[in-house]
Amino acid sequence: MDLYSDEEIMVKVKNDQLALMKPLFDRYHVKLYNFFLRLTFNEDVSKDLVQNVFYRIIKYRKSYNPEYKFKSWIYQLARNNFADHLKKNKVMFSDFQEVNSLTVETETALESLELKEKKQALYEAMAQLPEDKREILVMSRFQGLKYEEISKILDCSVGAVKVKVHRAINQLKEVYFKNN
Amino acid sequence: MDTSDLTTMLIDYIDGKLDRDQTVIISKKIEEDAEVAKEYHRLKEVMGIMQSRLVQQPDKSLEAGFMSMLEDEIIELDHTLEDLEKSIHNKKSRIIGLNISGPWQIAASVILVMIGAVIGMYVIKSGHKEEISSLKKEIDATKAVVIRSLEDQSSASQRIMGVNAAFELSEADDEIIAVLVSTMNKDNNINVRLAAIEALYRFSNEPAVKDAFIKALTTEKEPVIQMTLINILVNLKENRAINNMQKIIDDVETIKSVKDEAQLGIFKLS
Repeated sequence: MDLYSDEEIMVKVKNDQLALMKPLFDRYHVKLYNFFLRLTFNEDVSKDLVQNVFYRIIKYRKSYNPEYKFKSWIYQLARNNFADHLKKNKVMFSDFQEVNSLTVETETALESLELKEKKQALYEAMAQLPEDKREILVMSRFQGLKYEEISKILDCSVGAVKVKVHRAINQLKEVYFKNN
Repeated sequence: MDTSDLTTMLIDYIDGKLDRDQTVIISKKIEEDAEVAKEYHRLKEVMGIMQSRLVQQPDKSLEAGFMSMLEDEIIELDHTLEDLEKSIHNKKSRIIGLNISGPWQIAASVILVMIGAVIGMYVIKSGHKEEISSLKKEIDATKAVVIRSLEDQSSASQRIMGVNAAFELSEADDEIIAVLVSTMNKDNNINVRLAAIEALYRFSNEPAVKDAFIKALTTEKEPVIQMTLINILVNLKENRAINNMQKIIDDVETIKSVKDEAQLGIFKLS
């Protein structure tokens, strides 16, 4: 059991105890890395984006409101960071070369060939979705965030999140079966 | 039930979020209607693949990059504190300077030059013995600055400056070590405590300093101080600290990052 909650640590960081960023990094960097990986399909870009999120936390530490869940705040920063990245790079996911290399690396030897092919197809279908749908699927299905948590990140109602997730799943299903 | 409602119900059904009655209704529809069954199997396949979440670990360069960035930010913050202190000091000097003007300023300058000349002649005459005495006075003055600054509980930046003054001392006596150890263990501000640890580390050839580091590890609860102490004791190759590191690992209240650091410390010292 960790002694301090995310919020307690962040309050100390806000009061210039910057070295305490390390425990927060330990708790969140893998989650954020996988969040960006599912959105960008690029390992180097994902690492840069994670680094930038932690940089922004340090820079904007004084604006942290302790009544606000740290988890929601960090995902909001991650989303803004990703949006800025898209604006700067205007990345289009029409080329699946990177998707291929990513999924090949994530396979384990124990997986059946069929499952490998299905995962490959799913990542390709994901890459064809609009950004907002891909993002909500990553948060809800890959990051395992609850609808309530997502509603705080997106600043909308739980009901609206549910509708968005369901629409995204439906569209993903359509693209996935159209491709196959 | 239109198609979009049906899709929503099927997704909730697969997620196990429907109540008992709704579950029965949807199960029946899947059994009886081939189109519904087809839609159900398609959704189940897509959602099933997403559920087999693979967590990919980033390589070590991410952590290394983060640590380097954090280090830069901590140094920048320290500089900001120093600049703030200097600017306060300069303002004070300007205020004092404004009070002395005109003929008084000239008179004061003349007196200062005369005092300087008298002291200069005295120093030249008094030889080697006096040089040692003046050096001792300088050390005593630095010591006084360190001790006085550390007693100033109203200003953390003042205390940090006090600790930094200790860096000017080439060797430390018992009094300075005792003050720095007390600051390391008891100061209210974590940055002051970290500065005290850094200053003590310079005098780590003193057995009392090593003992203080080892003892601090048994009582310390602040994660960042715990991690700093562990790193220092590893650098000093102090294998007497292994037992205390083990206690940190066994303590249920210790956070994971500190436990990891202690584990690594024991590994390096064993």
